[in-house]
Amino acid sequence: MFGKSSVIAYAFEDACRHKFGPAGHFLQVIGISDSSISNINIINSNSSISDKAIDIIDFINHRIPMLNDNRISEGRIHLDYSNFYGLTGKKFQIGKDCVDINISIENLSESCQWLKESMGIEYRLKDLPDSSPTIVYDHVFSDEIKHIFTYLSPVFKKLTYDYINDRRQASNIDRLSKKTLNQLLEWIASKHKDTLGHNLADTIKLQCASIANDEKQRDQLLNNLKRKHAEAEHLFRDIALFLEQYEMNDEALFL
Amino acid sequence: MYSPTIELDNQKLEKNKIIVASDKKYRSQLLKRFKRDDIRSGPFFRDLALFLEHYEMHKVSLFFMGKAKMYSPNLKPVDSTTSSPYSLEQSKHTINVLSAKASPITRTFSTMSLAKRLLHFLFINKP
Repeated sequence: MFGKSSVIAYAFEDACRHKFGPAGHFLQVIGISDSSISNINIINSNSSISDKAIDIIDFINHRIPMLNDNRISEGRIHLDYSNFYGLTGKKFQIGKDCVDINISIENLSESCQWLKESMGIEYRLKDLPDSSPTIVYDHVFSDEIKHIFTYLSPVFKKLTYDYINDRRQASNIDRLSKKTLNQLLEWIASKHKDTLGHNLADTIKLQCASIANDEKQRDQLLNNLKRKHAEAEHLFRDIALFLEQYEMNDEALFL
Repeated sequence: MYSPTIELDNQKLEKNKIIVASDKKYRSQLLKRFKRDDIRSGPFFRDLALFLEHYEMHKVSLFFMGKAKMYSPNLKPVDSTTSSPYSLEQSKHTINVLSAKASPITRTFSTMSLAKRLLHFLFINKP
């Protein structure tokens, strides 16, 4: 539409190095001064996540992809993977093996060549390691998993358990990681027994039923509160009835 | 003339007054939140958890807060319409820990992200 001569390409890394990130780089390019940019509230998104976060999300996506026929797969919830964004670790480094499986190094080389010739931006594939560096699981990982575990969906709890179980059996695992992962499995088995009681297919079914029930109870409570103009006694009665649906009979007494 | 019985009754009345006043406050807070249309499960369970927390139902409150976070992992710990402080101490602690331990936000994109962008650029936008 604009013609190739009207397109100017900037190296992404250069944009990231700007004091205010890629957004700041763009604003500077179009002539807005740094002093003006500093007054703008720039919201950062798509920030880096750690090697561990990417690895666990990748494992889960292989087991249950987020989308199936352009719809969210059964067992997945919108943005469910964000719970793992808090996992700390090293910066993720993609390996040539991963590139080769997905698109082949040869294709990528050609594309890099095209990018260099057309836009003057050079990416050197030789900088990529043969494979991603081995992940080390330490007590920090263990603590972080324990902190987020409560907030994971039943399916994610199950898959997280499977992930830990899978990684502890890797041939190249170090002693510390193996010990950490073994202890985590024991912790899950003792504190979240329900996670291990069903296979994945059954867990998905149970989760779907639980979500349907949550929605039903939510709608019922909201409808009741709106319809009755929410007199005090109605509110407490309706919430008490709601709690009873979750078998919280003692709490429903509001003592 | 001082009467211990009357004094006790007065204390009970005062206490009842306080309970009724706080009931009204929490009730109107909750209703204000639930009055909105199209309340999604995440905010719904969070608001309910906050309400129950006022009645010191910590365990139940945490159960519903867990559901809230399951449905909306990025849910803010306060309700934006009322800006009421998030009072669940344990969850607050958990969230603080998570925030503190969040991966160092380098503001540069990960290699994975970069590779994806590069590939998208190369294969989707290639003329």
